[in-house]
Amino acid sequence: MAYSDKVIDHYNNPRNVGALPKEDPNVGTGLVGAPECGDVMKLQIKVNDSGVIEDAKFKTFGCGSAIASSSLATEWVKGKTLTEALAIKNTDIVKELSLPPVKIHCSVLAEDAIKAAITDWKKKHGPKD
Amino acid sequence: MDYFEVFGLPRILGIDLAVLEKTFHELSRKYHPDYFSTAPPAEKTQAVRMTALLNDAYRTLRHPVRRVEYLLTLYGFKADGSKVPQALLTEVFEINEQLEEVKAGRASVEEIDSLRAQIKEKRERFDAELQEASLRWDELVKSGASEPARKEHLARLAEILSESSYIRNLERDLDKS
Repeated sequence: MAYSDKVIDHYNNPRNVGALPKEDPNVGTGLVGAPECGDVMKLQIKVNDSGVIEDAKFKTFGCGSAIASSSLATEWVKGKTLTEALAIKNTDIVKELSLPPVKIHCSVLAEDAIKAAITDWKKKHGPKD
Repeated sequence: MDYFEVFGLPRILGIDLAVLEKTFHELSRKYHPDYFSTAPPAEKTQAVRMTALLNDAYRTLRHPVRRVEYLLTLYGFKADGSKVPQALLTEVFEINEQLEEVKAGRASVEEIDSLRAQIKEKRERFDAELQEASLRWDELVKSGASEPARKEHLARLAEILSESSYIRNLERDLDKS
């Protein structure tokens, strides 16, 4: 199975690899995994006072598609509000990266990671109305 | 015909491997394509199909983990990653970070040994857990437990498999590097 050019590009030049301070109140951390392949993905967001994601970092242990999906996810969430980031669907990632059917679960993982990071941030900031 | 039926077994997990192997050889002989060289085409095809099925069934049932995986698929259960505890994911993530050091050639022999021991210990704990849960399944089947009780236990088996698959993947990864 051949990877698409975009997957290869993200794999060779992953954007935003790294970590943000987990304890920082403005940072939300999402850690998700896929048992079938053993992939684990950590995605972190830093949210500013106006509720905009100003920075995002990831670190993924997994296949090229999982790395590309999370790399793309960090690119996409940057500059978005939390509501906008929550609207990112795994199908958007599949389309952008031309992922084959057997790699769709990688995009699902990336969507789950975004949601988990936002949930973590919200937990730190208490219930909002 | 499911794999248990191929061997004339009920859907239990405690399988005597010596008996399984003996039955495998007997059935292999019975369906061996050589005995069907002069048989009508339909019978010949059936023998080939049975041989293939028998081989798959044997490979699956003799392996304690694959056996559970197979049982779960018979009931429509699938290993589900979303229920894996965060603590385990964190641990798996950290082990992966150490593994990365090993792969990059930045880890000492002692560090590699200690990492290997850590993973092995975790895997053995999961193996024991799976074995215990497998025995419990057999008890439920033999005592004619209710459908909900069985379903609940199948979900538990799926959970153990999900969690342990991370560790087994790590172990395989470490062996390769």
